[in-house]
Amino acid sequence: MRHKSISVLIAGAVLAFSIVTLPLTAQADGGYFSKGEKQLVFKEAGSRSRTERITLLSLVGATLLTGAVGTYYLFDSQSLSDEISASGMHTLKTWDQGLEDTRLDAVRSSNIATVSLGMSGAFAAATIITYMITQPDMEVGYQDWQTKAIPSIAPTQGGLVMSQGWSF
Amino acid sequence: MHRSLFIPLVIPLVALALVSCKPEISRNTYFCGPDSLCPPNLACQLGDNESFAYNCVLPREVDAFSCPEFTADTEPDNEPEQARDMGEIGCGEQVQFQNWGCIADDSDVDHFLFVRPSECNGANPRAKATLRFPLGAAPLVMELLDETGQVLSTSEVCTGEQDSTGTEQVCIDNADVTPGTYRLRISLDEAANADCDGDCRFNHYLLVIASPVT
Repeated sequence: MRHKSISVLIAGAVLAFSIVTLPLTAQADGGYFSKGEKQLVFKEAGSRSRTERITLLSLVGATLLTGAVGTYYLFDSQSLSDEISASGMHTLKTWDQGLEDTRLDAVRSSNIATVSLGMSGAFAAATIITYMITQPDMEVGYQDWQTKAIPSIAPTQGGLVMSQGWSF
Repeated sequence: MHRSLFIPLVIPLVALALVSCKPEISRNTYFCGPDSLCPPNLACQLGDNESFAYNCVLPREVDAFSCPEFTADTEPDNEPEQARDMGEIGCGEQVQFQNWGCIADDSDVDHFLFVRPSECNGANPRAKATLRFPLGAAPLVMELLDETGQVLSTSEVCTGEQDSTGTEQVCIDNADVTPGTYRLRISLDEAANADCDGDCRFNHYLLVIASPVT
């Protein structure tokens, strides 16, 4: 019983202290009662660091470059393969060193295309992962309200309108 | 995730799926080249008795080489005295004589004999011999010999540029054939150096002799 009475007393003291000091705290923070010190609070996306931007650009560049190389060799290998591929009817051609060289070129281009496009895919994946990892958090921004009132004058038909704002 | 980031990922992967574009070559679509050259996974069918030229086929379809039966009737003819007698060749004949033959190995030499009985009085008379053989096995050479065995002419390659038969052709075109007895000697061409490193030192052939004028 005695303990309960002490608890009630302490809670009452804390509540009373809070009520008394609340306006003082607001004043000290430049809070909602402070004249001419109000701020606009907003959220905005943060920006990546220079290193992160360079890394991302490099990865995109590597993706495009290896993709372009791979695509070139892909078409090259397709063209060469079409020259010598045969099924069904006899071509009436003799398999000589020239055709063998063409085949080797087609295989070489196909291998280069496979490696290049594989690398391009890997770079693309790395680009996406890096983009996600380096995604900046939302940051809270503060902007001071305009503290000086600016008068404005606008002409109207048959006269003009003047306006003036005040903050308080 | 930003939508535009899919583009650099999707394009390479789609292209990658199309990459498997290496040459695909089925059996019996190409003649064997010199040195029995064939596309990978195919082999030269040197034992093919159905086709004059050799074709690239599956390795399990390859038979060992043997001279076709119809070429055996001229053997033995390794010595000049054993030459197959083709008789007299006239004047102005486009095809005077035609014969299938075979060189079975290093030691095999074929001889053919013909006689020019009299002077040919046509314009630009010649004795012309054409030897055609498949490219896949060892190349052959042909020599024109006089009565004493002296070599008068040696064949030269005369395959047409547009030839699509899988064969090579060598020719002797001699304008200096006076009346007399001549022999043709056919053997492996040692200078050609296309005998599959010694594994295809044989071939069969078709010999055509003509006596054109003009």
